[in-house]
Amino acid sequence: MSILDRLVLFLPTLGFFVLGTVILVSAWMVGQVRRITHAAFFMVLAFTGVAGVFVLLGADFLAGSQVLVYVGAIAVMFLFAIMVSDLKELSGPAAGSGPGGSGSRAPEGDGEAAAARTAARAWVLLAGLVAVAFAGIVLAAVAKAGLPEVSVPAASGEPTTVLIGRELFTKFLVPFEVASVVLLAALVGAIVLAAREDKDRGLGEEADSGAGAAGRRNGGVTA
Amino acid sequence: MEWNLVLPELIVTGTGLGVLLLDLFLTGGGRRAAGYTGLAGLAAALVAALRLMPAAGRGELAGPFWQGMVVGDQFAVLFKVLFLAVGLVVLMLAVDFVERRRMPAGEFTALILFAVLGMMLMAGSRDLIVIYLGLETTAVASYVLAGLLRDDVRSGEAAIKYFLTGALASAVILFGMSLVFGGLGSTGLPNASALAEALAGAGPSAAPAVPSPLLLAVGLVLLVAGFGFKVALVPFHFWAPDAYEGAPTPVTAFFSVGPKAAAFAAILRVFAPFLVMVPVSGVEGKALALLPSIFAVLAVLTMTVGNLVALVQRNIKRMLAYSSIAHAGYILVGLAVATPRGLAAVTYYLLAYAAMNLGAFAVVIWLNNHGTGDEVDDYVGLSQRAPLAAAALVVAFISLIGIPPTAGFFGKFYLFMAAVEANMAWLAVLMVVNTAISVGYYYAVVRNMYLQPAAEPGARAAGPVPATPLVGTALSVTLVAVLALGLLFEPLARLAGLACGGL
Repeated sequence: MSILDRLVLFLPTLGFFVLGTVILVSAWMVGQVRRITHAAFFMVLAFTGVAGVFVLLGADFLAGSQVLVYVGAIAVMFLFAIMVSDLKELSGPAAGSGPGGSGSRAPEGDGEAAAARTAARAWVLLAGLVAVAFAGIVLAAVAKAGLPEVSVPAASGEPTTVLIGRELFTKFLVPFEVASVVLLAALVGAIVLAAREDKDRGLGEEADSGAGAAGRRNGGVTA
Repeated sequence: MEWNLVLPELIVTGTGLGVLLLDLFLTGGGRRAAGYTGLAGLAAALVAALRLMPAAGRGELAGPFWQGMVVGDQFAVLFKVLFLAVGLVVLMLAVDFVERRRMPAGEFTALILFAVLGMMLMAGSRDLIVIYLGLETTAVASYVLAGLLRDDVRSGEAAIKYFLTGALASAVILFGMSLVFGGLGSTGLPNASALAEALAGAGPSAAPAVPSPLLLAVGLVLLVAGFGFKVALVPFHFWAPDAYEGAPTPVTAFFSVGPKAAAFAAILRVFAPFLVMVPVSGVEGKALALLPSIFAVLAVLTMTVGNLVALVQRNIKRMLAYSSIAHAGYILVGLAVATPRGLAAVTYYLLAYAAMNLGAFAVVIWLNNHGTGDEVDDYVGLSQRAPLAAAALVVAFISLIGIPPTAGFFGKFYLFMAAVEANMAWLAVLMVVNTAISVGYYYAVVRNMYLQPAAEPGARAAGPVPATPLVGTALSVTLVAVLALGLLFEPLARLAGLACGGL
């Protein structure tokens, strides 16, 4: 086997690691950058990386719909939402650490803020430890599993669209139909929650649970 | 037969779509017609489901239908009947409330119907994909239902909290299901006997061996956490009190029984084979054998925390939320004992719990419709103002506590016996101790209603409270069910046992 052949065989693996790095880094950056528009674009990058992984797996249809739905529709919707809500910068835990963060830190109550930051850091550390332990367990389980080799139909070069279509309307007919009800319920819900009140319904009359407001949080211990 | 089997689902879906369409032509007081249409659809579906009962009992519907995506065993049909009945009662309770609070009637009815559809799918499938989609149908409809009181900030808060934790739970469930899929090599769940064969390696039938019990165990633990969010087990319960308090009261009634019972049905469907199977040797087998212990720990935490925190609640919806958490804890006892009898006890308790909790909420909704607030103090002197409502609430509470002639007693008794038989008497004792604690907060309401004079400051002067026909019917149905389920304990327990035998 010549060097060239080895290289060709190694290419998918190399591609996977490159794409994996891109996905992880951009997903991390979504939570790190200060400008929400930048975060949206990093999310687009992560989605594109996932589409690349689908290509490596020979799932051409999935890769295409990933680009169309996530990179296209969902990202555009995010950008529209940002545009409409006039929210230029995220404020929150990242304040003060990023560029242009000066001045957002309140001068008074510094000791309290520092204590809160320490506590937050402890929680982050704990969450990180749990995450690492959990990832370790899952990886060990997967490594030990000895999952069966599954033949990928697409390896023969046949487009997967036909196969997916056939499966969707035979074996997965019931789930397919149920999914349409999920979407319908979401659609109805989105409209009913977002629509303006029409004159016929108007604002609700004086709420009778007014007495309830006072004692609302009494004993609201969540243990 | 294929079509007959999904007839209830088809009727419910069709009615939901019809109600959305019909709502376009309704105005003013005519909007009630949306609710009536929904009621008619649910009643028709209930009849269709009841007609499946005999065939399911003979085991004629067990075969794989719709490419194995739908099953019609006794378990599925029993739960479908329960869910349709719950939907019917909730809708009866809601029609007046929806009109009075000017909620969008058509959308409300359609969303309740879609939620019921999702619940039926969760109980009526052996396939992880359908179970997940059913869960999601119910969840999406529930998020919106919680936020339908648009002029009430708390309703919005309830919706957003329910949505965020629900989305997280869905993600955890999906991750767990993907690992279970990896461990089983299929999205179809085996029943107990098939699983035992598969785990043993080579069964007499051509059942494929389970590739990895360890992967399976990790996936199942994730599913415990995910479903734990859905049924509000401690420590995954923190969303429930806020969501229950803020949501419109009929929706709260629905949350506390419907989606909860459906999630428990899914839990039974997914976990029962692993709980009652023959033990497997090796590390992997040990990992799987941990499941009952996990359920036992969760049961103790859930009932203790639920009952203790309920003691200090002043809002009756919040109190019933914690009470509902505590009852989820009792139900878990049946899973922790991991015997066929324990599973049957879970099923019976779910029936009893649905009846008694809906009964309590029916009274709360009835009073709320006439201007009584939702605070425990608003119930002061109720026995003079509304003797019938007060008496009905007492009956519901007696059952929730678990005092003899009621369904609640038999439910707890069955769980207790199952625990004792499985040599887990400590768990049974903890259950009794918790029941004693729970008397505290139920009695606080009863004391306010009967022993405090109505003239006390804080009590709201209000006239007599006549029940509307719908609320009255719903309340009577639940109270009769509370007593009937208790009287029919023998046959129902046998039915529950048979239903769980096929899991």
